[in-house]
Amino acid sequence: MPYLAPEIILTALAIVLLLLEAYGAISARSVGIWSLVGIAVAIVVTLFTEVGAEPMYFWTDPNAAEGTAGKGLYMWDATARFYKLFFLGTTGLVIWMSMESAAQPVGPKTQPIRAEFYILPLFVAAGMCLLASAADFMVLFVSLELVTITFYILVAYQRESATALEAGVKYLILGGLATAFLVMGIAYVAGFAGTTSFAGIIAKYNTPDHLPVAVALGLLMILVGFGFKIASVPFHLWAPDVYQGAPTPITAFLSVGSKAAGFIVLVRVLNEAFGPTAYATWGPALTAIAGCSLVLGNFAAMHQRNIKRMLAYSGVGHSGFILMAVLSGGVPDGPGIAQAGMTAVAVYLATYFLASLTAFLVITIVSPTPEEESIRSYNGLWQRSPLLAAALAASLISLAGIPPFAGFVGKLGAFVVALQFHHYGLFFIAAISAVAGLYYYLGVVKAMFWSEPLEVTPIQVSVPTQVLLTILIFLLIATGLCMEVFAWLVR
Amino acid sequence: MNADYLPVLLQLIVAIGFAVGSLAAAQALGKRGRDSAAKHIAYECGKDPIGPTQPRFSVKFYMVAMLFILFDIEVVFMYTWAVVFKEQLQYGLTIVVSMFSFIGILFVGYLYVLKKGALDWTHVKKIERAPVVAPQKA
Repeated sequence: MPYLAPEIILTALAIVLLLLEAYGAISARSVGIWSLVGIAVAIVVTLFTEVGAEPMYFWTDPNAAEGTAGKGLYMWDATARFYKLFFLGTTGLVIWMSMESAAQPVGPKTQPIRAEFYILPLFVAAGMCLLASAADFMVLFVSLELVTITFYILVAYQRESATALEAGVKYLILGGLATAFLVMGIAYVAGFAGTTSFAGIIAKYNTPDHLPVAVALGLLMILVGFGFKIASVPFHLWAPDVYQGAPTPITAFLSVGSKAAGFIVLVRVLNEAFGPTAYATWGPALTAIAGCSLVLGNFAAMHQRNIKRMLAYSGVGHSGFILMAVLSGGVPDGPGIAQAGMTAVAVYLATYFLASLTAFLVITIVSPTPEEESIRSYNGLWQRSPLLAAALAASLISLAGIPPFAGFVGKLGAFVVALQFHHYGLFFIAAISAVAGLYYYLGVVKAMFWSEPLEVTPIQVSVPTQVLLTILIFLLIATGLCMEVFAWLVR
Repeated sequence: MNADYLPVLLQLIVAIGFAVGSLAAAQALGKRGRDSAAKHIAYECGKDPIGPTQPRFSVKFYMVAMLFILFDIEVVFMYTWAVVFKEQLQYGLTIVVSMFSFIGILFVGYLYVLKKGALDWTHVKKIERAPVVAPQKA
């Protein structure tokens, strides 16, 4: 299969659907179905694209002087393929959620789900797939902006509601600020290295000396930009309000897709563009960020009464756990990030993907309006719909990291990496935070099973979604019991 | 090596200097303490303002401004493309294909805008609107 195939498929499909919809030839629902088909095709294409032992590079500048240009702009390796599949899967489930919420009755001030709500995620997915393959800061920046700008529209979709507008403005302004930091950082690094290509930068700065001050400053500024995407403390301020105000499928997209996009570029840059010597710069910074995210995320989540806000703070905490796995560099003559760290990040994200998207799928069905997003609305969910209660319980327990579920494997990996690379302080903080996490996750589980419901009307779930939920519950348990699955995924 | 950092230092000094300088100038030159109600009304060529000072604009103006920027930026790309076009032709048709696919995507955007009625100023649906109330004068 030709390289760039998933991106081209998604973009072409999105453009065709946009035109068909504008000319009124197709209904919103069929746009949703076609989007799902397109994503399925892209997943198949990505699965059947060969991955060599060495990464393959494309778009090499033929007439660049020796040593100035990199190997190319676009790289295709096992990591890129894994994250492309991750993003495509996320987008597929998000579109499914959107179709689920389109089937719900709309309130007087709610915008009905229109075709654009299915088309824009396709552009986001194309941007994220490109991001997974970026081998140059130019491609990285353009694809990151494709993702972010499309998210600005999606976050403010419910434009009649005050919380959605607040979310939109907050995300736009803080996102713009983060982008400014990122560009400034790239400008410093590229200005001193003389190239924007990852391979060119590492060739110049992978020496035993420390990084020049300006390059170190640039790297830290780039970390600010990525810290915003992954919602880590102190760049997390947008997360609770935006997660609450955005439509639930988009919240899910932000919390899984956008976070993973931040992490793939983070590990790519630290691994491909900077070598082990740069660890002296980013190691302490990321350790502090990880520690703060763990503590603040998990402890702030305890007091939340809105389930989307709770998941936002818990997502900040999860960023801390994943950063713990990223912090596995600094080995002289080693890679920027050790293979163990890369694997732990990928596994953690995979388990987070399963658990988080399951939770948001249930929230989409149970809480069609903002008023029903309070945790009290989940009281006695078991009596209203056993399947939804079981799915939400499985995902929350998995997020908490209790053994038979997938989340345990992810947490285990992150903790093992922390011990292996002697981050004992961080290990200690993470252990306490994980225990704090149990409190609020299990609080919701307790409310679902042991509290009296506010209303007793049963919740109807369509048959395809019932099947999907059952598969997700099965996967949450099966991948938790059989960890080898992850070894196969990230090979 | 240290000379390399001179532009960075210069940029820092200019940025900080501008912010501090304008605040200090305002502090030094501005006459404070002579505050009256008249100072708080909107300035309208010396006359007392008539009607609301922050009237609501139709969203169509913003639409046109936004679309103008979107389609205007396209020309920025075309300039740089035009400069290297002839020279790059020797490496094959990549340069032609990339520009035309870019314009093609923009054209789809244009059709979308057209069909959604963003450029339509005459056929406006009648919208019930709350009457604009003039703010009370202080």
